[in-house]
Amino acid sequence: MLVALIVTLLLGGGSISVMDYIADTKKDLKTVIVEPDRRGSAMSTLKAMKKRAAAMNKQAGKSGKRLKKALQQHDLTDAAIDEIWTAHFASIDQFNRDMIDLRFQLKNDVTRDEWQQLFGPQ
Amino acid sequence: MFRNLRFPISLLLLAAAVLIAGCGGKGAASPQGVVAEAFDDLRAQVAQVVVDAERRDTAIELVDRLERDYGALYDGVQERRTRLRALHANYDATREQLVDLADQLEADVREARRTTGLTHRELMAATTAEEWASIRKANTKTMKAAIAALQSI
Repeated sequence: MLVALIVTLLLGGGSISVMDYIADTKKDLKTVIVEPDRRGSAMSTLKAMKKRAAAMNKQAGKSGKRLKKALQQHDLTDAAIDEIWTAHFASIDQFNRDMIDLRFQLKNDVTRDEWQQLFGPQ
Repeated sequence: MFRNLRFPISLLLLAAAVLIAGCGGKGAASPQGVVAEAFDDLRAQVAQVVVDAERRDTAIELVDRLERDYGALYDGVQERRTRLRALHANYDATREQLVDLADQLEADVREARRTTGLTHRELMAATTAEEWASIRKANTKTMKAAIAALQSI
């Protein structure tokens, strides 16, 4: 039951990132950006962010499965667990960098005023 | 060290909590209150189960340390997430600024995983296998509350 909980947390915890919330502005973006070309380009970037976040979730699922498998081993070592976490944290690092790159790609299609409307204080 | 499953389960619950600290979510109305209550329950369980006075005091001190470490992690994650969102909202923010701040947040989470893991080892070392079996349920409840609170940030 506890193992299931751990795996559920990794699988179902949503996107493991501090930047993925940007991809949730799709609805606002449709309203804020009226120019079709820029809006379409920005929407494509948001779609890419969603796709990247989904891939990260899939990766987290794999980490969860590895943890579950490791926990079933009676001769489990610190090194074995550390290796799983190290790999997982590395994937998070790469994910954050990818999302930041996409953030700047999004910015290319958004004016300063639009950016403020999308992400500024409400 | 990991030859007994009781340890990795406990440690990994906490590790899962800190690992997903970077993930936003919706929590209970007062998640921090639930965490405080869970730590109180854990302390009470330790006090009831560990019969040796010296080991009991040690174990309770370790629970106190876990709660302090968790509180520091919660505050740190909350502060950095707020800063990160504010930085992202800044149209003129540079890539370097965003990467640096994201790295700082991840470093906090990794360090928390390390220190809380060590404290858990000490806590387990301060208890017998039978005592730990009795404490484990309260410990799991505490970790679940901690996870929920971190998700609520």
